Amino acid sequence: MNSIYIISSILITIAIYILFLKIYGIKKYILFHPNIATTIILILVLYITKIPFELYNTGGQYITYFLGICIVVLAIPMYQTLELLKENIKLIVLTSLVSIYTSFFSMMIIARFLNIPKSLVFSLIPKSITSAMAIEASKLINGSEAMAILGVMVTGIMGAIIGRFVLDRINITNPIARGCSLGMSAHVMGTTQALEEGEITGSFSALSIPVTGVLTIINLPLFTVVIDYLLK
Amino acid sequence: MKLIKKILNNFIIPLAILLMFQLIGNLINSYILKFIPGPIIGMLLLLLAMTINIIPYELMKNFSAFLVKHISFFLIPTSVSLIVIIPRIDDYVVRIILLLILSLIIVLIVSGSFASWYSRKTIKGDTDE
Repeated sequence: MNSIYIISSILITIAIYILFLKIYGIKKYILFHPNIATTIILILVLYITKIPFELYNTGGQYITYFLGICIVVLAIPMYQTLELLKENIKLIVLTSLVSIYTSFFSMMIIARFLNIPKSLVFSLIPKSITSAMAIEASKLINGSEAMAILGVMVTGIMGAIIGRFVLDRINITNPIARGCSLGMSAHVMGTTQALEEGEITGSFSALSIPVTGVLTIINLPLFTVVIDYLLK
Repeated sequence: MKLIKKILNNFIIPLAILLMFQLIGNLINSYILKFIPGPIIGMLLLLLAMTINIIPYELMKNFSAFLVKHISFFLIPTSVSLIVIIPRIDDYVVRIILLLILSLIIVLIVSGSFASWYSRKTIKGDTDE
């Protein structure tokens, strides 16, 4: 009986994902992005039919199991851009560090103004890194994985919608700077936007993603100490 | 025979290599580097192995392109687990989204300005020399 649940939840996830892969191929509207659309539909289905999440996750956990190799595989795109990274290592690492600290401290200040408790902000720290790494990051600090994903998804969607607009408004025309900014603030979603602007912007954005991810994770122990002082 | 070889080269071997590096990463994580997640150590080691030509890039190319394209698929169950979280953070959802948007705008502006200032500075420095 149990194996029926496992197989059906895996198959349903794959089916909806493939459907939206096709739809997104025709119409590149951000809410049709396969990951976002499949998530929303599955949440609605579970909510309406009152199927408990745990039951869906009996199959879902086998999909999640592959997240580890999804991080390992990022070595290959990194290898492809290694020359570009070597040439610009100072720029990328420095900008990435600036963006990580800006992200962390801006969140702390805003959270204080909006009265959001520490336990919630805590899980949002890895909001600007690619989702597979964000999950690893939240495991590391004992945060909530779902909250981390919420942070990553909202940041990504908004980054794709307003990212280029914001950069236009403050007159940043340098393609390298635009690429770094989009990739470091809105990870993969920002990169899809950067790719539309051209090759340089796109590749700088793409290579910002793993650098920002790794640097954020290295900085996590520091952040967890600092957050204790800044928020209640 | 040809088909089997093709499947081996394009799918089984690259997958086995990825799993092997994840395993090595997890081992190093549990014994030595506890503050870096295993898969990230695995990723950095695989990058190193490819730069010193232990693992040929050509072997990994096709499979990795496929997997990278569909990474977000493997995130779906974790994203769906939001259904468990959302009722608990009900009162804060609007504020959290506001927080994320404001912080995003600040990061965009600061990192964009910094990168454009820094690259202008280094280009100037190059011409001075």
